[in-house]
Amino acid sequence: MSEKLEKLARNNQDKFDQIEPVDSDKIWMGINQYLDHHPRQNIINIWFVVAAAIIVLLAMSTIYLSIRVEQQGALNSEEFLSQIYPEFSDEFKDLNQQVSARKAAISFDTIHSEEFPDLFREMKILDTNYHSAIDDLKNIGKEDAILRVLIRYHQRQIDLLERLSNEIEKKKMYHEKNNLHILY
Amino acid sequence: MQNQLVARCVKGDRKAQYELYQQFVTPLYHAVIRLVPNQAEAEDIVQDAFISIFKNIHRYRSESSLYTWMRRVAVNKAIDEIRKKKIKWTTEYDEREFLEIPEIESSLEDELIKELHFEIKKLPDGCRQILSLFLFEGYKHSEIATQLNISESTSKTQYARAKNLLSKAFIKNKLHE
Repeated sequence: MSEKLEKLARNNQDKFDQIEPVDSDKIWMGINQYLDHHPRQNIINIWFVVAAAIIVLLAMSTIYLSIRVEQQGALNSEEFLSQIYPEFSDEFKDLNQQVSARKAAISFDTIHSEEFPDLFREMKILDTNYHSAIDDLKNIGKEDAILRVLIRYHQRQIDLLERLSNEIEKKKMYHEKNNLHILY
Repeated sequence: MQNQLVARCVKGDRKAQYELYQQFVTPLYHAVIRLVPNQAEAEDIVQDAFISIFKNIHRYRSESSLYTWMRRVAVNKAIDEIRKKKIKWTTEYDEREFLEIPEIESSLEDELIKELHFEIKKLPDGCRQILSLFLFEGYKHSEIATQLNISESTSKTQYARAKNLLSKAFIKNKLHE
């Protein structure tokens, strides 16, 4: 029986699976009803949307935080300097306004650093020196040498922006000249 | 062809789902009815299995055949139902009770298969489920033991018991003919 039964089952699986009539319409009705009331959700798309939403939220919060930190940093530096050197408060304010005005005049934020690599490299070094001077001020305290560095920073920043403005003008003139040469 | 059908089912195409259903409902029903021999219960399990198949068809990978994957889903659903019921396992079994059935002519094979199917359905729970899983679903005794939370030796004993009960039923039937 044992071998005979096993052989019979293995060799005739298809026949064993076709013996009884199946009320397929009745079963399908139940499936169909379920599928109607539980419309298919594209799991991949849902997860994609969820993942995309998380990425966008993270990116937005990172950008927001970095802007806040940057703004706060700049504000804090100015406030901090005014607190330490109240007698120079107006001077710092005036220097900062000059820097902002020059930046606005040349649309500083739209300039690509690759176009004027030397000037931007100098600005970067200047910024690093400025921040280390602020740190020194916090650690060491009020020092004339630090004050000189800070004032010089603003003046050098104005100089660099002036040079940058000149370079931009030169570039413009060069392009205009070239265009005229091509025309005639 | 089948890949296209699967792709359409993944998109939720109801016609494709029905096509797939019609193709496989009968064998899946038989796999289930041998494990749970109550028509209403088996129909519910098959319905549940197809819903699960359609919900998870995007997870189907063509490493195994679609039919094998679908059959495994249906059998697992039936096993879940079996687990909910408390089966009283008879662990003692005297192998000397084992009887041989007479030779059957090959012309009568279809009739024998039919007879066997209904005799299997009459077997007590437990030994019938083990026989079905081992003989028709290709489970090993160790896998059955894990699935039904029994020992491997219980699975083997119950399988032998099922075969013995089947042979007894056959002889009884032959005597009545």
